[in-house]
Amino acid sequence: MRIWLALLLLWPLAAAAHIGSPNIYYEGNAGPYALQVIIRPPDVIPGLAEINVRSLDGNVQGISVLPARYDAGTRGAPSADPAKPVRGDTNLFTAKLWLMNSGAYNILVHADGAAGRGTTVVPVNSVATARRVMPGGFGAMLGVWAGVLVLALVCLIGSAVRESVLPPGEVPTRKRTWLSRGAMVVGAFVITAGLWGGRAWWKSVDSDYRNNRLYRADDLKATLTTNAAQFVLKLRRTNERGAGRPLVPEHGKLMHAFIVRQPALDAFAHLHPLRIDDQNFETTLPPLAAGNYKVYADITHSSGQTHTLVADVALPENPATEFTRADEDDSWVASSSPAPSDAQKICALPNDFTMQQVGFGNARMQFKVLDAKGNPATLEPYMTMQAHAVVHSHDATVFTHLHPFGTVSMTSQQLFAKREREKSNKPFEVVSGLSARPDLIVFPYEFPKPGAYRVWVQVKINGQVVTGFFDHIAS
Amino acid sequence: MQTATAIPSPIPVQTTRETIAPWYFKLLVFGAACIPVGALWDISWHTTIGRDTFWTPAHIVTYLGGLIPGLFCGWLALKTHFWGSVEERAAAVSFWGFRAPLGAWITIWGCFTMLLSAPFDDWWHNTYGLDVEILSPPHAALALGMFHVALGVLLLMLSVQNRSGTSDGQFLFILTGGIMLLMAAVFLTERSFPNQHRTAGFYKASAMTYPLYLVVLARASKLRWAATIASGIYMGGLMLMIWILPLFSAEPKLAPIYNPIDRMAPPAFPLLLVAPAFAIDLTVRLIGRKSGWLRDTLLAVALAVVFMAVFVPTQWYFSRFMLSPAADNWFFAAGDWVPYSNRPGSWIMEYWGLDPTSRRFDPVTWKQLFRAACCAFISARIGLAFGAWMSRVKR
Repeated sequence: MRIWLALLLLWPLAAAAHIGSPNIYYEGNAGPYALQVIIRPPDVIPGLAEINVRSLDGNVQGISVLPARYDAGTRGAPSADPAKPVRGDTNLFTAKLWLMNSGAYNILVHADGAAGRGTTVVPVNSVATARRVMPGGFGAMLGVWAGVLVLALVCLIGSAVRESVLPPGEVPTRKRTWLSRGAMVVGAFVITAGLWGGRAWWKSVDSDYRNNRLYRADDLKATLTTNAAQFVLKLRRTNERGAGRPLVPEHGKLMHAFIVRQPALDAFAHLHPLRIDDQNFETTLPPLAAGNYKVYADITHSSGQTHTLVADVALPENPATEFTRADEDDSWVASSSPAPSDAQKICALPNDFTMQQVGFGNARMQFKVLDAKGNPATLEPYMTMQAHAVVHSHDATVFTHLHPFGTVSMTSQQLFAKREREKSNKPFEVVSGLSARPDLIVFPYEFPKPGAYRVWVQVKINGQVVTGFFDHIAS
Repeated sequence: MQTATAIPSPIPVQTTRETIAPWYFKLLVFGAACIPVGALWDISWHTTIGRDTFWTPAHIVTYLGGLIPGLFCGWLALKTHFWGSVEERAAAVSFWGFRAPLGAWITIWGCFTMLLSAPFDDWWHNTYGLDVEILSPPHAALALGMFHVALGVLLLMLSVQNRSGTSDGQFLFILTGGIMLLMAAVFLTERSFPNQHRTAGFYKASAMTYPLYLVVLARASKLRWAATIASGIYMGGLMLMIWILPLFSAEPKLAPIYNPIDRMAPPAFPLLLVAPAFAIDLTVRLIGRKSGWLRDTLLAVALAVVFMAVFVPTQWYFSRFMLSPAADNWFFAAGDWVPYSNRPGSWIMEYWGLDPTSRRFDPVTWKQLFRAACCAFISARIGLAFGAWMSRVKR
């Protein structure tokens, strides 16, 4: 039981912009070079981030990386660290960087090759998410060690009082022997008091970590009201640590809310609640089946830090006969319950289109959208993206919203570039992602832990948003 | 557990050159000196460069500080117990059935405590993040170990000095005392910046710490101005670090860098401890020759008053100078201690803790000064008792 509790506590509580999926996946161009960047951020701050960079074209000779916090930029960044080539893989480079403060960081990745130097920027949420307990064996080892030291110190006090002031060779008197025993008792009390003080100190540090340094997303409260025979979802975010920085739009929307029916995962909506004020948002609800839903709301602060807020809401039968979208990009889909295996590779879409799962692996999820004749469908931008994906584990411990360039925030990249331009008065551009292939949708991603997942993929065809869904067992 | 090994009869005191100053004493003092030097270098490293590894030069110097005294004392304990002469075994104390000088046991204990702090500190980093601070529980365990390493060295020297009945080797003793004073000051760094010299917290922490060291040295040493000399060693050591460290170019290796440093950052200028130390030496010389429970208690009251009367005005006005442009030079290096991770600003040359709206508001009031004086009394009283014992240590 203790082991399970320890493992549970070891699991990241949240990963800022995603739930249970802390690693960052990004694919984009650094100048003339196509790179895939995977960052495993530390789960305590300050901590070491592991950065793996793969050249997708194989034409990169060297990679160097440097961290820049949002408020300091590259002027407040150290010189870049060269990433080491990974033995046995000429296109893979690895490095480790310290993230010293909480908040929005950007990892600048410089790629050097025959075509000169190219740079890309990968935003990272630097937050402490781990809540660790001391492993039993390690604690026992430290405890025994400390216990022996305490016992030794008490005995040394006894030796000091009993013998240390006697001339060499003189035997301690009975009185001095008893005096030393008394000193040992007093010493034991003093040491115990010291240990007690140390314990109180440790507890205060732990309390400060839990209350002030451990990442805690805003609390989100979801309530349901009716308006003109439609359900209206009201979302209120609060945080006892303060409201934080103002929100900025992420690909055009201040909030992306994903509503997923639990535990069946058979109803899904991607909505964009309207801002009432900094704390309150609301949206009309599409005609979803009755049931218990989880609401995942993605927001981005002006620092570039992203957050996923979570709430629960129960929907009764929806009496509405008509639905008015609160936002033109709102979309939803009802689907079957998750399949017990990942055998399903093709998902039928409206108008005889189909979406095919091409493969999951090598840190990529790949899909195709085909028309009735089997030709690649012409995809239109959906909120400036070729496609959107949502990964949700069947046990609801993992939620990720990602795009073909990865799990990062495009807004964070652009904010960083804007600040760099303003501070240095020099051009600084970041192009998010690689050039899209018309016949293939690629999401850089790896499932964070073994288990069953459902993946929704959204694209826009002929002005209509369509959603495919797939089940996958990650081993 | 303790056994008082029966020795047939008292052994005559030896006063040969070997017993007065064994060759390894200088090595032990060098080892002890490595501890505060390594600690100050490491603080400068974290202030300037930020990124470190297990094998940074500063860390290696600190490890030497534990390793050299620890290995020598381990060797001394083995030699004394297994191969020691009758005289050597007679000049030892028993511990868990083994015989060795008390100082050797204490140094060994300090080494094992330093070792214990290493896995604890590593776990701490993985649990709460890298503790970029001096005061944390694992660092306190490390400091406790360091303190005992140096204390053991001090006691080894004292035992030889007290047995010989001469003042030979006194300088090494005072040097070690100064090193311990420097170690204590390093531990209090985060509460001792000149900007804090008008806060009650600084005076309470100082009153709790420094009288203990100064009084111990004043009472245990056979030299006339022991506390003053040790304070001079503390100040000299720190000033050397202030002047030497900035000679080396360095740059921050971690982000964010708000203060672009291009050379190793020095520590803050030392406290003017020679002033209260001189007053303590004088007081002990005038009225502290004899000891006794009541006499020492009254003496502790006098020493506390003397310490506060000299220390508070000295630091009160000296800090004003340290926060003025006049101190902005290589000698005093005012404000040069600011780390790369702090934004430069007027706060560097301002007093802290004086804003009533701040959570850290901590003004010096008569009530707080009285509390600090009480701390000084307790510190001085313990110092007198400990010093009296140390002046009699012979094994």
